[in-house]
Amino acid sequence: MRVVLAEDSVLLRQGLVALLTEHPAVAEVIEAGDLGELLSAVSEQEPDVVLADIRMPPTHTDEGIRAAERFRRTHPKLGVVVLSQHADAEGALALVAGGSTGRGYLLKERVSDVEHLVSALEAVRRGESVIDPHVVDALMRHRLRFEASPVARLTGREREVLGLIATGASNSSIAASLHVTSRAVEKHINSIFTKLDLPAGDRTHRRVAAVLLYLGDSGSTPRPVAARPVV
Amino acid sequence: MRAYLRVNLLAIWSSVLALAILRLVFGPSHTIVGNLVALVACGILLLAAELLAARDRSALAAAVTIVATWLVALAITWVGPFLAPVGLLALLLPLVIVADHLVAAWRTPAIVMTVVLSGVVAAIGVSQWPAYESTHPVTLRTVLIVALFVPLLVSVLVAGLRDYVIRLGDRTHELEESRARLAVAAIEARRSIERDLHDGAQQRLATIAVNLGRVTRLWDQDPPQARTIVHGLQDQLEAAIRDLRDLAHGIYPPILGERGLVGALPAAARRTVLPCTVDVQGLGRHSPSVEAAVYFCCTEAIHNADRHSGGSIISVQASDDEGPGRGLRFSISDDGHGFDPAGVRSTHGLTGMRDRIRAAGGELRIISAPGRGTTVEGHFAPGTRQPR
Repeated sequence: MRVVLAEDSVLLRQGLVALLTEHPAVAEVIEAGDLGELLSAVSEQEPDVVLADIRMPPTHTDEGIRAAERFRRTHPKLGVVVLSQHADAEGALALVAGGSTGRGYLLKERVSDVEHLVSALEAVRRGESVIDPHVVDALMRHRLRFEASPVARLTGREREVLGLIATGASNSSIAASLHVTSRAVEKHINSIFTKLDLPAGDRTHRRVAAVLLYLGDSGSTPRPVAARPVV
Repeated sequence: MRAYLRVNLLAIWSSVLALAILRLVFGPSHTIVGNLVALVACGILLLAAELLAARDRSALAAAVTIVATWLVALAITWVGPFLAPVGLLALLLPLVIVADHLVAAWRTPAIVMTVVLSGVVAAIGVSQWPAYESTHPVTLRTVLIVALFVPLLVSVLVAGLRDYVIRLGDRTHELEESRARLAVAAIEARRSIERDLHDGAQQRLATIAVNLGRVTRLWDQDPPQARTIVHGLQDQLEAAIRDLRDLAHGIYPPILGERGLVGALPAAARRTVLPCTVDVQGLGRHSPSVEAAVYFCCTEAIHNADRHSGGSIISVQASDDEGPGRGLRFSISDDGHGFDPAGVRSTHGLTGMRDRIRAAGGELRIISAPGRGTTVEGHFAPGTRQPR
């Protein structure tokens, strides 16, 4: 697997290069320090995946997301994992807004677990989606504060499954982490999609976008349960 | 206030002149002479007030102005009862215009006295009227005196009031602008803290996380390499701690709360490249908002002098005002190349410093000229209302 790594902090970039190069699944790491370097590295080197900081020069705002959006048009097969310093879900929602195929969104602290990081890179390379569980948790908890939310009508197990779907987990990995059969997971998923009135998702990556955008859409949820500030 | 005093002086002495001409044209008159005496006395008092104001004794000048106006209001009503309404107006005006210069303790007595005197003026007017009428049959002369004298006094009142309204408007406008700038500065400060955290400590911690991940992998495969990384980790962790400490210190230096400016200013001076002397003799504690405003103004001025002045030494002075009250003076000077304050449109930094000091109740001046260094000078007057 050939990786373009875009990160403006030299120190962190060097650490990541060493970390990834030491991993057997990674053949080569090409470095980029800002948006321009990332774009030219991708067009010149044709990597398999991109691992990009969300915030880079020139504007230090959402270069990672914008690059991912652009690659969807110019390099549809390219997998992109965006690293973010913030647990805000907005970045993840923006990333999957145009579709979640081959897109990953991880919090920066995940980089300490190289296996996790490499498996995320491999997943987006296959066209799957990976969303940081912490981000999904925050969205779920926010949803559950609205008593009118259909999410509140889900059973506890269904909520667990929903959370896992949003992170991009496949049916089999959901089954494994919940210690149930794949059949049972499918049943849960069908029930969830019916209750939430979501289009029945056959493909994992479509499911991720649908669920994430559903969770992130706060416009259709009236009446908060408590008057405490919504995070 | 000095503009008000000048308008007053001009009007008073031109009234004196006008009355003197009337006296020469119409011959001796009890009214004219009485008014002349009252106006001359008032004019002398106002001159004294002007002198006091020129020497920065504005509280005393305000008091003298008010007393002078009281005297003239009583006197003109005594000699010319038809002037009673103008006397009443005249009583009120200085209180409205110069009261903010009075020491707080004198304000209430001045207000009470004005109210009492308004009754006295009205009473004098009513009681003197019959006597005045019997000795002064209405002649062309009386009409002329009234026609000349009343507009003169009223023009003083109107000019003073207009000036007051304009100044009030200017000040409100200035306050609104500085408030808006402060709001922007507050947001900007938050943003810069976030940026510092993101580029500094957060980045270092993420790097540490990456390297910990590497160590975990290399622990068994390549122990010497793992050991090297762990050594590096220690440095990175120390750097992260240092970053956080510097950032926290920049947000609010703990020593400022603990020991005030006496502790915090010398500490700030030790972080400069140029030599920086600090004189904080006779400096006590002030309210937290004043101390913080002075501290951040000083650190910014010190930083500017250190980075941009091109001088060889910076000196910082701060001391309490002598006498009662909690006045405070401070200055930061350098011997660098200076600049032309009129030429430089008030730069972001200087405006920010001034806003900060004004918001805490003080005043800030920047004195500089090309080739003559720069001095930033701040003053909190005694008895200034200081936000807590």
